[in-house]
Amino acid sequence: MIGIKSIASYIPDDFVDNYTQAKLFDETDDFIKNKIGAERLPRKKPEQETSDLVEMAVLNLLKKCPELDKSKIDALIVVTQNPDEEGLPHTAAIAQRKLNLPTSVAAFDVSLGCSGYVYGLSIIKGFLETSGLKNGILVTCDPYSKIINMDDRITSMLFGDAATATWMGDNPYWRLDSISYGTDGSGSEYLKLVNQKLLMNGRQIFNFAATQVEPNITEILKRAGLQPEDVDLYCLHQGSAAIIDAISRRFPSVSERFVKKMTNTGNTVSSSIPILLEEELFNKNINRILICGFGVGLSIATAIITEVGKE
Amino acid sequence: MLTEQDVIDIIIDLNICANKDSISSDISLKSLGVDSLDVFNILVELEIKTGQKIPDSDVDKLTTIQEMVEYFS
Repeated sequence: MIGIKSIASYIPDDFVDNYTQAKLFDETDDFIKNKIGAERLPRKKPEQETSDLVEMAVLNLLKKCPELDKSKIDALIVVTQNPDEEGLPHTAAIAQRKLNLPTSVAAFDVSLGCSGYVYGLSIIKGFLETSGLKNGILVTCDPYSKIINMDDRITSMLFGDAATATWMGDNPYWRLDSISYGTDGSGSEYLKLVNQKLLMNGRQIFNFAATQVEPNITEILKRAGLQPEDVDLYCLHQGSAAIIDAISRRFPSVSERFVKKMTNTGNTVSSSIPILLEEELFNKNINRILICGFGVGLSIATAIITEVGKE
Repeated sequence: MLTEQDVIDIIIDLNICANKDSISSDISLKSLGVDSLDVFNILVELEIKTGQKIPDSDVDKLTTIQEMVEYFS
């Protein structure tokens, strides 16, 4: 059975101070702390490409997991909508060269935003199992600093750069259980690139999260035969503090189990869920986690992961 | 039909106004300290309660409780 063995991340040292930004937009410190939820937004260096962040995340994973030799890596999947240069060739191939991975590796990109990690887990699991392969790395890396207009109050205070790498392999510590997907392309215009800059209809994205996540979670719990209390932790995409609050209040009996942790990262798109999981995978008190990504598309994916054994 | 009390209840339930005694129907929500994300929250709850969608083009018209009640009347 293929599942999660480990997760590592790379968060750039450089950052934008969000309190300073707030003053430019005539917003309060309270708004930054309690509504946006991010005090600093990590930023890659201008000369860093997406594949450089991918490389750093994978190197951090290899450092964390010395038993994972590069020669044993069969697949590298990169979830991004901000690939190197103009997107051709695919970033996964560029990262394969930079990481000096074997040429036998299967490497490809997946174009998804904030739902990308949950989709990616399912894709890499299915890919490895169907192909009879043993070890794959799922990378998330969507540096929105490439496309943010810093004069835009809606997006400039939200997004941070980051990359994560998840080792998927045999004899995992966590297995992927129930999973569900959803897409509503009628909302595709609400988060899109226009002239290479990100344009977001904040209200409609908020609406989507506030109204569509709850039924998705409720449905997957029902399908799995679980009550909300049976899940130890709810690791949702960290869109903003206000979005997490709007969702968690719909689950009053377990609202304190919804993780809200983006103070030093901001909204890192598809990386936000694995950044949370990296901290919790080996927490002895946590045995079942619900993950849910939602955003660009509009797209949503929800899954339950369950511990199957820890070191 | 939406009443003033319905909107006040939503604002209180959402815990987005520090001074509940200051809430009245004709005062602008902004002057009560309601920020842009609070407004998103209120509008979501109004849409759920009334079953009606509020187009983006109408949002700027909804700056007070009174205007919200009149909008759905």
